[in-house]
Amino acid sequence: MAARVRAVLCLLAVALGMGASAARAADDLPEYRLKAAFLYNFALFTEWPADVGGTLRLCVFGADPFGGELDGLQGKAVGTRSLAVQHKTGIDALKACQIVFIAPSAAGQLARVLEAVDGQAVLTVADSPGAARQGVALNMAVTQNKVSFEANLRAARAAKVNLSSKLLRLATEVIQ
Amino acid sequence: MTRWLRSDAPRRALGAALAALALCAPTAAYPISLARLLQLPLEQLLRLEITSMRSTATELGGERHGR
Repeated sequence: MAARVRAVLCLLAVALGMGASAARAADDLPEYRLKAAFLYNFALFTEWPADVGGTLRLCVFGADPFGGELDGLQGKAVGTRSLAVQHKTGIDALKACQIVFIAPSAAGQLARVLEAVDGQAVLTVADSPGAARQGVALNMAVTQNKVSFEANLRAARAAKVNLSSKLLRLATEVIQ
Repeated sequence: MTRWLRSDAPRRALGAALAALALCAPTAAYPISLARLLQLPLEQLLRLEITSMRSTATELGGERHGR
């Protein structure tokens, strides 16, 4: 009988150990998974001109830091439109996008990217220091392990996209 | 019934039930998949703490922003 009790206790310990490891895995939240969710929200709370078609092309320029997380946004509905995630290597190709994420690896080309999409209805997004001041509409940052973002309202207006009041209210800084 | 109780079957059944519970319960309670994140309001995303920073950005020459 004692052996049977020991066996049950061992099983219980193993089961609890498995539970603890599963809990650790569930708690894991990688930086770029959260930033992918922010990108989706940026799309949700931005208005494009009516002549933009039914597809919102979300283009990544530079080395993709998302590691496949953006696959989860492929085809996702944004109002009456749907998202199409694309990777672009040429700056001129960015004119065909509605959202351009300028990866940290391409931060050095920021001015050229902004020049290329100038006058187009393109929401520019980055996560590089000072990008909003340089003219990117929405720029993410990580502070104390939390993601925040700043908005450049002037840049958004110049790009003919309308950032919702909710986005502006939640931004850490709004550049007018 | 008595024969069943004296056999190894109850122990095996208990073990299987505990293992299944341990595997399923934690993930069901707090999943942070992208699909789950997309259901959360923006206000809540701002409060979430990331647990792992991707080093690729730094390796590729980008500075960490805000850290």
